[in-house]
Amino acid sequence: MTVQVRPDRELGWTRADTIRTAVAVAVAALLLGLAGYLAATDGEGLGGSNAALMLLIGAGLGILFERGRYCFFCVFRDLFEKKNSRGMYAILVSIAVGMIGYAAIFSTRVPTPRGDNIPADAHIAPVSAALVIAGLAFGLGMVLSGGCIAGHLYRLPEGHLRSIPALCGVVVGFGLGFLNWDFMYSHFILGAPVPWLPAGNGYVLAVLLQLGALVAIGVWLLRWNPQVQGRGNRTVDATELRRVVFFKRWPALATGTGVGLLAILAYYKDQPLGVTQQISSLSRTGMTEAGWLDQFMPGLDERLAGCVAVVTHTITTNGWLILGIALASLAAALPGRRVRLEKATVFNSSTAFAGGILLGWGAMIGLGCTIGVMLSGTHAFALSGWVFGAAIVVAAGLGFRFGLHRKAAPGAFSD
Amino acid sequence: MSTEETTPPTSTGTRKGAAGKTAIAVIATAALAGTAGFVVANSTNDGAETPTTGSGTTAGEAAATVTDVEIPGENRGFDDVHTDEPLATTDWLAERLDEGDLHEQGIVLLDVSENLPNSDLTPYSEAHIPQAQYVEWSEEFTQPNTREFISADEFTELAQSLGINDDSTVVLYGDNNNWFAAYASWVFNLYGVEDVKLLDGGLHKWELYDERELVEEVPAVPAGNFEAEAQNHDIRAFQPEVLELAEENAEAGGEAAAAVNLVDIRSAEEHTGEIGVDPDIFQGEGAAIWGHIPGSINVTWTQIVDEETGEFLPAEEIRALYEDAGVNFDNPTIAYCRIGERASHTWYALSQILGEEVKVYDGSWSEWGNSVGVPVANTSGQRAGLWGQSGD
Repeated sequence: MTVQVRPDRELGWTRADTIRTAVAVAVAALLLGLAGYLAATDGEGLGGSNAALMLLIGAGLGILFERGRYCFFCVFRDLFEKKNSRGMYAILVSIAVGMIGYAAIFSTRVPTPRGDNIPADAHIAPVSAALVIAGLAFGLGMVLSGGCIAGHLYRLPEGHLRSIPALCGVVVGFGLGFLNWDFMYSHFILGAPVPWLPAGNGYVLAVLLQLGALVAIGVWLLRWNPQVQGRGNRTVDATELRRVVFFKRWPALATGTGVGLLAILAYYKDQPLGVTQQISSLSRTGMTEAGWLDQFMPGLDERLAGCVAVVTHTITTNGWLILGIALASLAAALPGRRVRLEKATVFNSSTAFAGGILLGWGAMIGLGCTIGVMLSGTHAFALSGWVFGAAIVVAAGLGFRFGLHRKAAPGAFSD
Repeated sequence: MSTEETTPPTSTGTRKGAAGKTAIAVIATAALAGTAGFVVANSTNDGAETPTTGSGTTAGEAAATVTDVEIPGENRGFDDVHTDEPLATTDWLAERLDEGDLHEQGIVLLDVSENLPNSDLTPYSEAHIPQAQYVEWSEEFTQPNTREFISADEFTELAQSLGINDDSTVVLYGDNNNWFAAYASWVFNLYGVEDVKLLDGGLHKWELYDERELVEEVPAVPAGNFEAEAQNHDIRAFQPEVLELAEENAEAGGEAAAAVNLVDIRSAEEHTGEIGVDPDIFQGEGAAIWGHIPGSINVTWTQIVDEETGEFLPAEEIRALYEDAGVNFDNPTIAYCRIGERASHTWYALSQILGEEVKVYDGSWSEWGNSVGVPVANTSGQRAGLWGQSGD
């Protein structure tokens, strides 16, 4: 059989590359310098002793998100629109790797898992209608705005200008969520069960079950797996290395493993991954000071675990994580010539803003986003992670089928 | 399944293979779904009262020691708890009495006193504030031989016999700085009486400071129509709830890490665990273990009353005092003492005067300090209590 091999495009080195690389190095230096400063001062008044670590974990995530295209919007769009499931495997692998690490950490902290000793710091949330509604809103907001919240954080440095109105919308959406919270909490969430799969079953069964589910999904997704383009014989020289590291998308397996490992590290040292806590704190603190919110929010301030805000006047480790994602994404995108300003119009900005509101509202009521509830939830063997994820997939699937992302941003999607 | 797309059905051999694969896929899916159903059904905490059944893995490895008694109640929030004017002055009461019959003015005046032998106040049976009725806090509020209040129906009966209507203003006073009057006010709020006031300064202010008149006549009032509601558990804390906070605080090295303030209103020595309870004075309130609930903040109740008049300090001073001690009013608060009556006094100050969200842990130290296995902080530097060197 003869195989058509498309030769790799010549990379070359232009003057613009010199500038891009210089900026990337400067950003990387800034990141490392900041981490060094936080480590030296022990994060005094700036998030505490874990600030430097979380900044670096954020940086790692930023690189993985950007280079591995670990973006729920892109992955679901590929799946539902282009019938290409390849990106899904990064998500599946990241869940598998992370949950095994979580199981190891849990087993040392809670040797006998029961329903009444659920680890309070993990993102294990009540499963109720509110969670489903939040997931649907979040999925729809993702399609409309062109990314989930973590996606916007890393796609903004790539030049995705719609992320700016989208993130503004997220802040507003959080505010609306806080205003609706009392209603949603008292009608749906209060008294809802908090299924934690290891409870009463042990960690082994929980791990096996989730692995089984992931494998089943993985096997099923093989049906939408287009042919892989071959590449010619090549030697690994400097150019090839540059191509593989900065230009080619990183393999799903490597990306997923990396995200899973960082999730374990984050939970072990500080708190589960999530990107919404600091943003929602911004909304909440502002609204509390303006007198629109009570100081105390029932449920939220009592026993619910999630990636949602406390009233704060300082940057938290979660803020450093977000900053790490954005800066590292920029540094990783630049050398691969992946920073391109996309056109932002009044129309596509307003749809991004509206989508952002849905994202923020969903993340508030659902107590987190794709990262905080879905990823960190499934890692922690919480049924809530699966339910939230399923709701997002359903909403995103419908959204992409009806082409809402194209209607929201005409001309943005060429292929 | 996907097999039909990937394997073209050209020969019988592959068709058999496809059928085999489908069968395997169906069995695998069924097994997975079955396991999932079992695991999810098992994973919630519905069976909390029987922690050792259903799983098998927990039996013998841990046992729940905190008793699981069911106390009927509901969470009604604080709307009918918080009162606009929670304190009545002695001047106000004197004016009402000058006007004539309290019952006609919609007021029910109650004396709830402790009658300690060393009290220099006149007991109700000898003389009392005009038109006041007497309520015995122990016999009339609690079930015999059980540490629990009377039922809602029994409370209805009691309240009606005292002439309390739905719209009555209940004014409570007592000896010993209103300790038991405050306790009663908490119980009245627990059962849904909406307008409850304390006579600021209590009997001490009326009898000794103001030197106003006392009478012997016991009033007769027509029966009221008040119907008690279920206990409002938003103002009552039980041991399991406190245990969660205590464990969180204990894990943080005894710091107040939980998002709920624990306020210990006992004396500083009782708080540190240097002393226990003097059995000569407080017979029946002793504790085998001395110390405090980890992470609790010690503000003695005496600090919030004026020494001479016995009246509460101004609200801002009370707030500042607690904030200085480390209470964060952004969070709800649970107050405890030895049996719950002085904690009610503090509850009155924080909940009714300051309008905060406060619970009384009425089990208090006489429950906690006698419980097996609960975390206790003793900061006196030595083991104390029955199992300490200083125990007797």
